[in-house]
Amino acid sequence: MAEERLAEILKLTIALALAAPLFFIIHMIISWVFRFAKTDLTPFVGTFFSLIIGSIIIIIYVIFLLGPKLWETPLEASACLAFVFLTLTGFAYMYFATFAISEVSLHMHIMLMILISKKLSIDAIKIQYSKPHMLKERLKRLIDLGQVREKDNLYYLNGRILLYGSKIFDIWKILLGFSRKLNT
Amino acid sequence: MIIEILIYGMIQFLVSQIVHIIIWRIFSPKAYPIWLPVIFIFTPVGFFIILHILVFSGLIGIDLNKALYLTIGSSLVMHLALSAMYIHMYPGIIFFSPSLELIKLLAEQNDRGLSIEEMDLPVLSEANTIGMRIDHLSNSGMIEKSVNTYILTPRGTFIARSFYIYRRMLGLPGIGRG
Repeated sequence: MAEERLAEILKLTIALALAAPLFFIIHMIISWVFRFAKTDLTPFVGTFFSLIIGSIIIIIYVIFLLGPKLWETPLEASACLAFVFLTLTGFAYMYFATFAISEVSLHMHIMLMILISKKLSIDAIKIQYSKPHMLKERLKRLIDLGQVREKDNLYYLNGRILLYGSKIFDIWKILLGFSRKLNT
Repeated sequence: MIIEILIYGMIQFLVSQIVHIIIWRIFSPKAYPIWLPVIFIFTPVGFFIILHILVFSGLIGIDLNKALYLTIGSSLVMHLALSAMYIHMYPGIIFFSPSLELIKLLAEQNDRGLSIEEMDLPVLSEANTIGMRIDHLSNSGMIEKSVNTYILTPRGTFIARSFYIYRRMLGLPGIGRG
């Protein structure tokens, strides 16, 4: 029995460790399916779908296939679900952030611009990052994410998830010894 | 056993966080892309390897049975997942994000809408966007200045090319919208 339980925990750990590659495979399938179907899919929405589908697959595997062998008491069941939830959240965020770096990070955008053109002048970078261009791109993305809405060329706050998230970041910044103000 | 895995994983992450906060309080390393993986990933994995060496050389007497191996290994997977999340979150914590600044500006307006022309964000100045990013990429050895242009270092080329290939595999243009 003990040996069998160890084997089930090993399977659970391997399934969780493979979460990120699973997210990537699902993301690839979704992206190409929508591309072949010539249906416009916002990159971030595609990423969200991949994370949700991947997480559901792993949770179903844990609960229905491994569940009965993994825990004997409600406390063990809660610990197992907390372990799965924390590990999956960690890998899901990591995958989401990796994609976000490729899509929106200014650092990565500058590096990719240099990679494609071999070398880049500061002026060329400045043209790409004009204030109106940056504002429009970000507003479009925030509308796609449901955080901002637009009516008659006026923009309104629509959701508060990012706002609350930024407050947690501000607290953590202070804990690390940074000023809450812009860090240069 | 699953309870031990959860507790050990959380303790590992908490210890790494405490070490990180202490170091950052003493001096804030500019090369955080190196420091954070050292604190959160290489040190715990190195500790795991050193433990093996000490046990197999007979210097400490721990019975490394299958159950203990699995407990440490599984808790390490959880710790690595949380650490990877934190390392990816870190730039968002220390650098300002143009999107978050926009959200904060709109939140300050209550229910009044703002047009693009009215969005006066000093943090979107050239120095705070391009200037800060270029300085940071130069300091971390990703790009270097060559006369009046910037070129990628071998390390920067490797990272940029990896992301380019990743995006192409997803069927996306090699470069994001920025």
